[in-house]
Amino acid sequence: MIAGVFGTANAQLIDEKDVTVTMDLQPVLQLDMTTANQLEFVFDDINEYYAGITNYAATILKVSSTVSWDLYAVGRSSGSTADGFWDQQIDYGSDNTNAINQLPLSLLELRQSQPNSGAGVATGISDYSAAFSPNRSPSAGNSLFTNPDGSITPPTADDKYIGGHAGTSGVAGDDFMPGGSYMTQTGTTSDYYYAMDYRILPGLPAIFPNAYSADGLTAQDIVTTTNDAGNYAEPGVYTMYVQYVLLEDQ
Amino acid sequence: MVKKLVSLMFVLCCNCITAQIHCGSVSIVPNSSVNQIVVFDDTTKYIGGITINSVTKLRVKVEDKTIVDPLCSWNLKMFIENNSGAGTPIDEWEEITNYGNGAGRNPTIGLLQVRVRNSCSTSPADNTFRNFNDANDILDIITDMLPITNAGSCTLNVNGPGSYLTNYDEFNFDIDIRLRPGARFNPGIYNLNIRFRLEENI
Repeated sequence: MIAGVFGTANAQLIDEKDVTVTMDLQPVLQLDMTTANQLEFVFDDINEYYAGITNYAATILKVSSTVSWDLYAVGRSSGSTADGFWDQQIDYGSDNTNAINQLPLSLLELRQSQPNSGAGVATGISDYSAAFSPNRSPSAGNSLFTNPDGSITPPTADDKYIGGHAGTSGVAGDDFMPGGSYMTQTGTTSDYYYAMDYRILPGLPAIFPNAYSADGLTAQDIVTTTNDAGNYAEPGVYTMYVQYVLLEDQ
Repeated sequence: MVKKLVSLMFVLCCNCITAQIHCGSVSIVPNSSVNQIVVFDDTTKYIGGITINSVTKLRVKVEDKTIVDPLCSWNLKMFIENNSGAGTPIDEWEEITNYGNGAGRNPTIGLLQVRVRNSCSTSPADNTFRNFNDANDILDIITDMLPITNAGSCTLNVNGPGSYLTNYDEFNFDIDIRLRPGARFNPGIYNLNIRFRLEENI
């Protein structure tokens, strides 16, 4: 009887082994850029002053990111002429009093191939996707974002981004682009691939009518800035650079 | 007389508590735990994934009792653990730490793919990557309660007594893992534990 009672308490044989997998997902923000080392805009013909010079797809931007991201462009210079203006390397001519050597960085226009699909909260011009305006119709739609002090500070909700925008709402489409890579995108368009066109339109006289403040509300052409209708850009060689910044949504 | 009776009862009790049902012993050799760290630090790894072959080997040894019981057979299963008792959602990896703002959500358990293989392809899931959907999922390697297939047959579902020492191709299982996160999850460090359980069939 005792054997019968205890006979039901037999133990099932078991053995176990554990494999613990630790996964370290490190954040990756990768901007691949294909571009010429230097873009030259040489204005040596009256038609070029009138019509401007456009460099199509001069820069290709390709994004790969494992986190939500924003991408913006900011115009910068060394500030040797003044903060927020092109660096004058050499001037031509006789230093006429109406010849101004302070050319605003925002006179450079950009156009991106793919509209910004992560800018729902933008309160101003959200991106650079507008077509370049006709030369007789000044427009802020494509003027390059710059900071008055020439710094790299990101644009605000009023300013232009290429992808994503200011803010961290966490709402898809409002102010960030989701993680992903141009390498896994298909079709003819992609939110991770941008071809950037550049244009400079001096106009005649050369006042750069499409230069505008970051929010696009204030004209920065030479006449408006100096408040002297007779002023124009001093002939010479000028340089500046465009910095593309890819950062985690902020 | 009373002393002998007490001794007999003690022996019976001890025998019964430690007794097997049908087999003499079952063991995974070695059964020490393994910790595999997988680091994703560039786009290629995120998109292409990382595969680690033979992250561990399960070497099975199942012995008959001294008096052979013809019903001795075994099964082998995989369980997944994510420390859900500490509040980890049932379908996510256990979060150790997060980096930055993140991309939305922590990685899901389904991200981990596990493959089992041996030379005789004894598991019905041999050489196939499978994944768990949540922490309640159990994946069979050798299903329980199958008819007994004796060692040495080098066929599907070998589950009779035997050992990796004498029938290596049937009693050894290579475990491979694959992780392909893509750009969907929060950066950070995460843990999952795969538990392999070898049992005799009752």
